[in-house]
Amino acid sequence: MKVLSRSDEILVLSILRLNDRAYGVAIVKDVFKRTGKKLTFGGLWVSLDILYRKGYVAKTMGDPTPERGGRRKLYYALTAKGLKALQEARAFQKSLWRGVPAVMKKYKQP
Amino acid sequence: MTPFRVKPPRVASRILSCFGDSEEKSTICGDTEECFHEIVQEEGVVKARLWYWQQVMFAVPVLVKNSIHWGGVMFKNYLIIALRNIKKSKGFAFINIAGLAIGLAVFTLIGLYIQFELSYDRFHENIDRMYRVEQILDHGTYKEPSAGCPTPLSQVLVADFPEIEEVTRIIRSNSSLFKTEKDTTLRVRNIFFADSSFFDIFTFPLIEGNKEAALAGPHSAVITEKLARSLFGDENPLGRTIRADWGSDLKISGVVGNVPANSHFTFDMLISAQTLVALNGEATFTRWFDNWVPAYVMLGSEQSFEALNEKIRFMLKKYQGERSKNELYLRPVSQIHLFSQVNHEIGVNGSIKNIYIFSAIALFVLIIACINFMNLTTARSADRAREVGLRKVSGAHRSSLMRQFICESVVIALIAMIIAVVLLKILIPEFNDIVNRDLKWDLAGNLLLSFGLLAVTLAAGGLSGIYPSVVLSSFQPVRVLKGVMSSGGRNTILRKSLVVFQFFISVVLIIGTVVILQQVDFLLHKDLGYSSEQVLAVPVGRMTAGKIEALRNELLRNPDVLNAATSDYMPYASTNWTQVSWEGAAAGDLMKINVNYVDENFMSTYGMTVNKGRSFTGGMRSSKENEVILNERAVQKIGWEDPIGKRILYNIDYRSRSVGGATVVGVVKDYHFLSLHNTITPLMMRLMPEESYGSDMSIKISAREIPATLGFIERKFTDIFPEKVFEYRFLDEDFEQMYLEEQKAGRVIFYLALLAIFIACMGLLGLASYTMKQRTKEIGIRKVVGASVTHITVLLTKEFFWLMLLANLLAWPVAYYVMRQWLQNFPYRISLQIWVFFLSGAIAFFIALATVGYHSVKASLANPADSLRYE
Repeated sequence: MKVLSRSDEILVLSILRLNDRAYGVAIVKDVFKRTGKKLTFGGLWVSLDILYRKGYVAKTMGDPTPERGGRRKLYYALTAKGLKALQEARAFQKSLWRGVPAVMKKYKQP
Repeated sequence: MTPFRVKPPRVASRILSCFGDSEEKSTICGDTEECFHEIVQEEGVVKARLWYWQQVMFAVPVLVKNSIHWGGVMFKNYLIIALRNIKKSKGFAFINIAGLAIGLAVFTLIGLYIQFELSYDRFHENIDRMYRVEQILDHGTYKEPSAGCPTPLSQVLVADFPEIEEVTRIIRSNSSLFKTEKDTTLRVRNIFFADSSFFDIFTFPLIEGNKEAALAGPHSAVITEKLARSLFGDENPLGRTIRADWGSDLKISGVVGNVPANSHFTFDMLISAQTLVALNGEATFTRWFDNWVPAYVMLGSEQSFEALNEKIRFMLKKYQGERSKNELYLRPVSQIHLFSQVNHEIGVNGSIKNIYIFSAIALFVLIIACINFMNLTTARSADRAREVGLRKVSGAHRSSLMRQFICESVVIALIAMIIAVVLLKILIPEFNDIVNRDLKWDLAGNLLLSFGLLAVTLAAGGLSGIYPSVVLSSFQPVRVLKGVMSSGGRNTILRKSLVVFQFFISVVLIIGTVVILQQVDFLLHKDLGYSSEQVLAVPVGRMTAGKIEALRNELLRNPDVLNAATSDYMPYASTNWTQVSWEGAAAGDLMKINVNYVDENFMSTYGMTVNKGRSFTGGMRSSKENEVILNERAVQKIGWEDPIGKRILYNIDYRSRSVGGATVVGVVKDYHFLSLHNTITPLMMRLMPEESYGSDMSIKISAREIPATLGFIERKFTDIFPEKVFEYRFLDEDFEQMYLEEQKAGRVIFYLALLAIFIACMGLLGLASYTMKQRTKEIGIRKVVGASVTHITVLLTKEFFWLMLLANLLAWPVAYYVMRQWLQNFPYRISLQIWVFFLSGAIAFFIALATVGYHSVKASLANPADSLRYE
């Protein structure tokens, strides 16, 4: 199975962190707070659409609100498959770092 | 909650909402707008707007890429389904594809034709600066637009108007025989006199010779490559001498590449205009009231055409006197071919009207084909209902279903396009024959048309797919999957009106074809006031009277030669004219009158009737007094009660060079001395003078043993004129030539009408066969209950009968109006007859009923046991 990419990981973590409030604006703000990356809503939608098609996230429509020009919110949530992929990504990360911190100490900071 | 008075930038949000093709996707707009309002409150409107635009700019490429990606995946599926459908119903696919292919081929063909017509004279490098000076001649009671200008005009233009850089005369000459030093004799048809500036204005590159010297002195000639080859073979023609049949020796001073087919005049030979002065004397180009010299000018770069046009308008007052009402104007050379309708043209022009007519019909043929597609697809919608239902249940949006059906029709259109390209290869040579053009098409070379075809194909496919896609995608999955949808019962009104429209167009085209053919036939066979049957025209050139008399006497020994006469112009083409006054006319009373020089046998050869006075006699030639015969129209216009013995007054006589006037000795019954596009105007006939005799000889022969008679005439001709080549043509050929444009238009419209009705019938065939299939069970039950075969056939055909009747009723008034407009172009025309309408209607009717009838009979003959077996 392919490992979740870093940018996907960021999105998935953000969705998880926001719990049941994970919709476009919230995700973009959260990602900006954590990483300083500015996402566009279009780009976000495309990335999440790909995750949706892979079955990692689920979508539910919210109610329309006036500040959105009468449009609905689209809430994202992680699926079990998505959660598994995230855990795998973390395990993969761990295995990559295994043994590295010990060696790192030998390098003097310049 | 705060009201949101500030809205996001309109254009940007419009762009973004383009991508909101599903409700989920439209949340992008919602998200962006929400954020926008936050930024408005925190950082102000300007920043927010900028931010919004930035969002859109960055989002669009990603979104586009995404749509294309998923679109591609779905498209593959649509393509497979489309191809499967074509395979499954081969008959319908054939009707659709064949119809569209024909429609597209016709469309491209007409496109090619229009492109060619528009390309006329565009090959000249300076085409934007090239103009022809044309004149509006004032004849008192009416004005005549003419390409012929006063003879000295070209000599003063450059001096009077600094805006004009170059000017050249281009004067058409009669065809002549030329003989080389090696005794090769050849008739050259397209000869023009021109000035050396000709090559500065027109882009006709010289292959041999240099352009300054080529037409500089008298008696020099430039010939085309093709003529050089026929005259001199492979030898270098430069510097050689050829002898013209009018006696002059011409020196070849240049060879020019062949004239492109899209030039408004075609020449084989150009002779220096100086030659005319050498032949006819210094006075040739000095008379301001002689209007026969076309003048072409090239303006300096960046000179305004409008300003000069204004200045040139009344310039003739300076030379012709203040009373002159003749006006000049400039016409861009690029517009001559399509828009010029003036007299004394130097070539045969096309007509913008034909372009409009042809393109309208081509469009209609295409529309008829598209209608077939729409009708057959919606009629068969029940076949696809299950598929639609299933797709909807598995989550297909209506928009994606619509896209699927449009895709399908585009696929069919593309297949049709490929067939159309093949069809074109076959059709182009045939079409060239009909319209007398040299059209070529190569896919890669003519990108405009290739892309045009592709665009029309996509448009035709797309547009004719829209309606079926709306219908098909509207099905309710629950009803469809339950099997409630029985037949394409809905939308029948629209389907029927489309069928009516198809046949409406077809009937109009049939009526148009019949009327045009009738009119052409009328033009060819109208009584012209003289008899042209079994008359040969033999060019003899300018001769002394004695020699031609000798030939005539020799010819008349053969009893099959009935009569012979010479004339300056043939009786149907007396284009030469002058202005005359008459005895008792008020001062300044002038009349335009056509002039023909004839001999004493002319009127008897053509069986013309002299109403009053007498015809010419040979003896008159020696008489000192000039004598004329007028036609009735001239006498009527002057208003003479008794014209015999009255005098006609004119300035100069171009042939006998006598000044003063002539006495009227006879009045000939009006006859058509020009093509039937012209009404009969005044005409005077004069007797050929002794020394300057000849031009064309008309020989009337009997209908027996024509080949033998022709052989006899040829022998006698070569006996008397050993230096000439015997040529002849029958007058009928010339008449055909005169109405060629109408015949061409008639034939093009005939074929288009044929195709239109063919495509429409194919559609009807498909529709009928499908309806019959739908009603198989109904027919079975009717038969079991006791209906007869006739009864059922009538029942099934009845519906189409009414449609045809309606189409006819609509088509008749439209065709009547259109054809009446067309006939207005002709001063002599047929009246529209009722039977033409009934006949055309009946033709369409029977073709359509035969199409439907076949299926009706087949359906009603079927054994009910078969159709009801499974119930």
